[in-house]
Formats: sequence, C-alpha cells, structure tokens
Amino acid sequence: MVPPSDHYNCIAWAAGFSDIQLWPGVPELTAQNVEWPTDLPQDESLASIVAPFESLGYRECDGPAVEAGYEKVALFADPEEDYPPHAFKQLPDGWWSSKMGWGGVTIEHDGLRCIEGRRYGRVRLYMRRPIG
Amino acid sequence: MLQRDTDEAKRKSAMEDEFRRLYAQWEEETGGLSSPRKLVENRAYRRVVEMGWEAVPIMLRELQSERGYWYSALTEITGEDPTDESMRGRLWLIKEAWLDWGRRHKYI
Repeated sequence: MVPPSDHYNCIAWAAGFSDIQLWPGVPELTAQNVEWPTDLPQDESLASIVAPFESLGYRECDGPAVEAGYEKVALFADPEEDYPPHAFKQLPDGWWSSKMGWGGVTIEHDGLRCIEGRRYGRVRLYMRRPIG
Repeated sequence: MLQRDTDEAKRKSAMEDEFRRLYAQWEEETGGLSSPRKLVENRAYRRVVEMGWEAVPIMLRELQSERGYWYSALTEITGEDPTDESMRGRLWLIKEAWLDWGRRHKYI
C-alpha cells in the first residue's frame, strides 16, 4: 500500500500520472483543484472518463482477463445512480491498483468485486492498449 | 472581564468541537471519493462553510496537519484565491499557497 497522497487521484493514477488531480465537470469553486483538457467532455459521465483513455491509446475490450502484450483499465461511473467516476489499472499479474479518492492511499487488490458497492457502483467498461 | 474571556473561550472550544464532528462526518461520507462535486456539496462540508470566518484559522491548521479539502471552503468564505494557473490540479501547491496566505494574514 502506498501512503496517503494528494498528488494524484484515481483517474490520474490509472492513466499513468502521479503528479496531478484529473477530473471532469467540476463546480466553479473547485475548478482550480483539478485539471481536465478543455476539448474533452465536461461532466461526470462514463463517456467523459473514457475520452482521456482513448486519447492515450486505450480501446474498449471484453473483460478483465490478463492478455499478453496489453495493459488494461477498468472504469466506473453511473451519474443516474449518482456514482461518480472511478478508475483502476491492471497490474501485470492480474491484480488491480487504485488510488482511493483525492487524498487517500493507493492499494492493490485481487479482482474488482471488493471495490464494487455503495461508493463506486459497478464496473461499466474495460479498456486495453498495447504495451510499449 | 474574566467571565467574558471564559465565555468566549468556551464558545470557541464548542465551535472547534463542532468543526471536528462535521469533519469526521464528511470523511465518513466522502472517503475514497475524488469527485470535487461530491466533496464540496456534502452536507457536513456545507455546514463548515456556514460557520464562516471563524472556521478559517481551524481550516488552515487542519491543512498544516495534512487534513481536509478546505480550499474551496476557504475561497467561498474569504472571497480570496491565492493560487495561480500554474497550480491547477496540484493540491500540494494549492495547500502551500493557502498556508502562505494564512501566515500573511496572521491566521496561523
């Protein structure tokens, strides 16, 4: 487990950044607290968080199974149920790594069931990109 | 005079207790979330903002102790924003900017 940090959040971590908080569609008063490209969707929908991963070369894939030559992310978001976005990245051994919130710890876990529930809802989409 | 000082100390102590109760509630309800919307629209967070200027020194001391997402509350209460564009998305720089602001204004 990595100690608590406010240097990055879940989307940044899954996207490969550890020095910025990335988030779409924030209230004006919090706009300075996060970065988000202006040419991407500006709300907390699944489409919004898919966009930056597409720009990094990720494409939708079937599921969480480890595939040689690919790295994967799992995305959560369900505005209708008021679940804000959350993102995980898969490690080479099939475990998942996630940053808990804006200032929490970074953890590794076997599978995503343990994360699904009242905080995040359920996995909505898996994406993958070729390694390297 | 002494009685008035004692009453004022009790009032401030009660306010700090209320702040810590609301902070614990906010942590319980938003722990693990990154959404700024969820963090600052939370009822306990709003109650802290309603405390107004008297909560500002407490928030700054909490930031010194690495606790709390008080940047938006500080801006909302004070009308100030000591940050600049280079700090966007970098909370540790935003925190330092607010702590500098607090020192300049003798809140901490």
